[in-house]
Amino acid sequence: MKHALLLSLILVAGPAFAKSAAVSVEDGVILRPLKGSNATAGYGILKNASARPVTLSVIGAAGFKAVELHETVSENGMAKMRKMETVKIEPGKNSC
Amino acid sequence: MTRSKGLSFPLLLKVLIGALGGAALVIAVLLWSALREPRLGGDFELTERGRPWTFSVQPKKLNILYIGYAKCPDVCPMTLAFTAEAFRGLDETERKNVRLLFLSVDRDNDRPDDVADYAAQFFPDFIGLSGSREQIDKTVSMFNASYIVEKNPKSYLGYSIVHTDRLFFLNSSGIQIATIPTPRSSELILKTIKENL
Repeated sequence: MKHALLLSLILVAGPAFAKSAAVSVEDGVILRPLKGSNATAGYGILKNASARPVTLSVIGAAGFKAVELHETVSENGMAKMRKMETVKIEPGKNSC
Repeated sequence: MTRSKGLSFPLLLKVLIGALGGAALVIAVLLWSALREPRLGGDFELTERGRPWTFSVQPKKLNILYIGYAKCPDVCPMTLAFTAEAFRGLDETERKNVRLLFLSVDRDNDRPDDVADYAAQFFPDFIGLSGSREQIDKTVSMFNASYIVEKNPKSYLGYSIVHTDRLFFLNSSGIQIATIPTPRSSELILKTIKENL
């Protein structure tokens, strides 16, 4: 797992976030990396309980060489991943 | 000098009727051919762990094909996980008559053993396949599927693959008899398996 690449996991690092209860992650899960692949994914529901919009960006995760945020879309029967630099969550809203 | 006679009227009538009947038959065949559903699939050759693999060698009654790649972090593992869940819902007899084929289109990065190991971790009987570029492309095109390798220098991997996200259900001759697009559930996959066994 140390050298695995974790995609689609959102992490926000920093003391401000750690102390804030306004933004939380529910049902967070990271899929165990499988032999034969050095990439895996994590999922969760991000909740913004504050009165202001929150913009989250990916920083990193211990044990992973890289962490990226992706949105998977289906267009004309094709699965496509779009890399996102940030995700914005409006007050009182969730983002999956 | 004897003047040759032309066709008698009855004979001419028979020839005309025969010609019309033949024309009608040709038109009927052309219409039937144009209106019927196209048959996708057939036999194909790939590799398993680097060794030659041919679909028609020991095919199952039902064969499920999924096209993706081992470094796909989202739809591929989800699909294989749902399919594995469906397989666990089969009894022993049903399970003997179906198999899952996972074809990696990431020829440049997915080693054959990696693909096979990856597939087997979802369910022991899942078969992970690879092949030459020509073999992979030919197989993919047989099912009107496709894939595109997108370079992405901003991504750690440096690329991602856009690919058809569909489960293809093939009979023992490799002909597609059913298909499930996204979204899908293990219940739907199990139901489709049982309907086609």
